[in-house]
Amino acid sequence: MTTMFWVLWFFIVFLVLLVAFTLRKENEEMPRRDILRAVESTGKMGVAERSFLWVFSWLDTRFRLQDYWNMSKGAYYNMHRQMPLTHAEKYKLRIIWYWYPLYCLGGISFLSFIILVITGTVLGIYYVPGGEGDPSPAYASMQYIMTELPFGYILRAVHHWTTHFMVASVFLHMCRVYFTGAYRNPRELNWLIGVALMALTIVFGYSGYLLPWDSLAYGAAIIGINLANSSPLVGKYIATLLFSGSELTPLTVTRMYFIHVFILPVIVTTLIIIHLFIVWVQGIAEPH
Amino acid sequence: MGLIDNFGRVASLYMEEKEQLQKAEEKRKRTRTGHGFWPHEVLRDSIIFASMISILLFYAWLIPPPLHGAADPYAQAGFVFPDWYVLFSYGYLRWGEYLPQFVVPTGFVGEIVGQPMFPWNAAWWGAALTGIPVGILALPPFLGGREKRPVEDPWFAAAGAVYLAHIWFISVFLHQHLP
Ligand code: HEM
Repeated sequence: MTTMFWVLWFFIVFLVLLVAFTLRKENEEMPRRDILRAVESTGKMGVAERSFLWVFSWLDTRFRLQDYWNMSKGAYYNMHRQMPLTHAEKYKLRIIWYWYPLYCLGGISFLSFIILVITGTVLGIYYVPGGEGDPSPAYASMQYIMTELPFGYILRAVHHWTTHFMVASVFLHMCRVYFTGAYRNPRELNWLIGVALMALTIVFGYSGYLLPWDSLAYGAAIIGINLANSSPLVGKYIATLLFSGSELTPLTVTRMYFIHVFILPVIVTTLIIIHLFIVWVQGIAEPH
Repeated sequence: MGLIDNFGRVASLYMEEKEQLQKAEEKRKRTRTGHGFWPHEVLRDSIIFASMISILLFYAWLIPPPLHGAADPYAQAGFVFPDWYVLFSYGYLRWGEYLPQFVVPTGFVGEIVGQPMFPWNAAWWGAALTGIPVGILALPPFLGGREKRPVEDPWFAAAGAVYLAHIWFISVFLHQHLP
């Protein structure tokens, strides 16, 4: 055991030294300081520009950024010029308060999601899904979070209410996209991604609702498993997939926990990134 | 010249034309005015986000997040009411109790998966009906013609309003009026 320990540490130290010495080669071929001085002498630079220059050249001497820099500069200036422009800039809007605040709803959904990820991560440290086949730790850890854990109560409260905010704002965001006609060509794909996000947001809420495993969660789980079981032919399999059995078992909580904290976050985060990337590339639909 | 070369020639011609058009378009766009992202939109968005967070914290402080008694499989089925955003699905489920129920033979496939008879019950009514409003959401981009505003396209706006009214009906009104 101890031998393994030391071998491992020596290996790690060896790797660190290797990397450090490989990266240290900067001064020999690349007159970084001369370049820095030359750039700095071309004009007045603030602290931000100076720091950026330092980091940029540091990275360049190690990763030869010059190749990627030219490439990304090309991409930046070639993708529709509109890319970095905002809604207001692009359409020369003089009014930003009128009803364009409704265009914030997507951003509010995003902000809610971030808050949920942060508070959820902290809650996850203290919540126990009861993996041994006994769901009562779930409820007990919930009580612990609510009554004993410092800031646990407010943490759960924020997580809980942000869920409601997120579902509502995603729904309203969808309504705003619909009633401004922003789902039409060329934004069909983004609308479809949005539909998936709407559904997944609701599934997120449902799976989280089951986690405290109190009486309401139990009732909701019964309704859910009945719906899943009722599908023709494949019902049993759907129920097993989602609730780990065609009847509620103690493992149901563990399954819901895994769905709630791993599967859904991965899918939803990916979809949101794609969604926002598409908005960024296409710009926001013409205002009316 | 092979076919591939022809394609290549067509593609580069297309790109040339496109680049020329884009250059002209760029020149036109360079002369823009209006509010910039900084500071106007940033200010507006910060105000909206800050109000949202303060409302959120106010709620979190004001209303305790619910935690009821522990789940008890042996207890009498108690009061169950799902969160508001799944009420529409619950509404279809309750409605399904009043719709006809029958048993459908599933034949050959049913034998294989071990379900020779499929009971078309309230739960399946609920699940199937839930699929309708969710499925309809995928349609709008593929129904329209040219881009129009709601005021120019009253049919679409009306359809949206009917959809919202229906969701409201099924998730609120229905629950108030079912026994
Ligand atoms: C997790 C949920 C979602 C997030 C975080 C999100 C985020 C955003 C953001 C930040 C924008 C930029 C414009 C704006 O804020 O209004 C946007 C635009 C858009 N969203 Fe979403 N959205 C979500 C869900 C949805 C849903 C449910 C739909 C529709 C079914 C949808 C369809 C669209 C479309 C079509 C656009 C482009 C609108 C335009 O160009 O005017 N999104 N989204």
